Amino acid sequence: MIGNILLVASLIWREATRRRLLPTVAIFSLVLIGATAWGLNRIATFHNPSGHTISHYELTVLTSVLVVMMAFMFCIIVSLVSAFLGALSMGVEIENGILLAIVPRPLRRFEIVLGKLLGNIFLMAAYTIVIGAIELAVVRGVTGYVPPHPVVALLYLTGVGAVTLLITMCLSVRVSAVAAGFAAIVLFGLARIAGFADTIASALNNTAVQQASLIVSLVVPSDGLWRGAAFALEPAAMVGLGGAVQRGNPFIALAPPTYAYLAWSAAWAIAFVIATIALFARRDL
Amino acid sequence: MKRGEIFGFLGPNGAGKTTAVKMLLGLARPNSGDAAILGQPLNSLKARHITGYLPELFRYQEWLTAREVCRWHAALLRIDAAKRTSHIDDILQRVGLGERADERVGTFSKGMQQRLGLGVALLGEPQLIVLDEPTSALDPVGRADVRALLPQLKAKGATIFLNSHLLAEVEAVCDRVAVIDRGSLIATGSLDELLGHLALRISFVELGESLRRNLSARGAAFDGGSTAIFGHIDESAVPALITDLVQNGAAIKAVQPIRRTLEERFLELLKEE
Repeated sequence: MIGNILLVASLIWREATRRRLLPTVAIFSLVLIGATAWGLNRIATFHNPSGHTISHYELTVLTSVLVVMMAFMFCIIVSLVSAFLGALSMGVEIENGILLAIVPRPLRRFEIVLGKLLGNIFLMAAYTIVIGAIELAVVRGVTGYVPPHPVVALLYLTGVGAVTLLITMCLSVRVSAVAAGFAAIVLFGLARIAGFADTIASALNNTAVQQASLIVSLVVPSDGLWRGAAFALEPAAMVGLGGAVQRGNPFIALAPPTYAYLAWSAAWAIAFVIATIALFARRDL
Repeated sequence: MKRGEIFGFLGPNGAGKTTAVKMLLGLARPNSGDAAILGQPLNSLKARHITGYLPELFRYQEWLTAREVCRWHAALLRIDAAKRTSHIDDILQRVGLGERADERVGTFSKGMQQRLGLGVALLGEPQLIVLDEPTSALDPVGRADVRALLPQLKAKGATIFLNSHLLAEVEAVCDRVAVIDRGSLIATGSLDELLGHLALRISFVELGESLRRNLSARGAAFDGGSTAIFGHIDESAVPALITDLVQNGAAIKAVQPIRRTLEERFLELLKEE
């Protein structure tokens, strides 16, 4: 069983290098990193008209906010990459008939699903962690700022990518690859909007909106995991400021996800894997 | 199907040929009923191990080379690693891709991709080879190659299930055929059983009275000229008949076996339905 899963996964890794998927995405990501490095350098060496440079404290505060903003933009890119990978591996291969020659081989359909999941999650995680780590290293090199829990943040971002990947792969068993990828991105956006609404509703004590947001965050846990990433990147001083302004800021997380929420997210992921296996087992090709 | 035969599977568009093939191979789920592949339960790993399949819609990873595609399928089949390379080389030679083995599938023509599909279906020397329209993208040379290859595979003990629209091709290579229409089997049997008895037309240079009597006594009819027609004759009796006629002084101009083609019979069957 493991051998077949790894064989299927190996094909995805080989495809990513042969078709230059990862190198292409990595090059564009590195260009973005270069742009942010230039921008941060401009801030770090900023002189006002009277000749004063920005203080270390000011630079740290500004960078800590910018890092969270950049992480959010990176989170969107990770989700897009995940939707693309998920649609490409399952939906496209069903549509173009590649699976017709694979499914009759002596392997089980669930091994195909697990192999594709393993291959894609490995690729997405490698991309997220390597590019994210380079970005944070550049921030440190230019400004000297290191967020409190960078590794935890990258793991949460990988979790966000996994949510989009699982949704795309599951849907693409039943609907077209394009529709599945599009739906996964829309759900990611919906979860983020619900997260925004929750942040504002909690500042205004609107329980109805908070409950609606909670339901969305349970159905699509990407925003809950994003908040974990945001919290891991925020310095304690930023969180400690508290107050209505901080509570109403949709880019700031005042607490990490609870263990119960993380357990729920893990159960959600397992349920999606099982659903994908069940749907693919019943799919006529 | 019987072991070791080449079995043709015929039917008009939409009859359910490809659907039936897909059900046999676990690509589609039957609503009801069951089947076995060479004694193995449908969809069992054992059945999959002994089956090779060329789909009608053949598509392989275009970013791999032909050899890599074969290697990946060979790994799935657990073909002994020590024998894998030589086995793949041999298969690619047999399907005419020996020279292009290390080129990417994306650069292949449709016909070459179909040849690759045939090669993939032959990996591991399967006991059952299911070919769904195996020559649809091939040029006349490629079709002749496949027609020549099928009896070789049969000689090695393989059972071949051939789903094809090309009735002349089926007639040339198949031992038995089945015809389906709207999901139901409407005829099955050997070509002799399906096409009926052989008729024979013998043209003479001159058809004298004694020869005419001789032929009449053997059951021949005449077309009014110098041609005799045997409406029903045992194929094995033809050589003796011709020899006898020649020894009795008949000057034979032509001997022409007459049998309905598979296409004619196929159209008849559909009309009857």
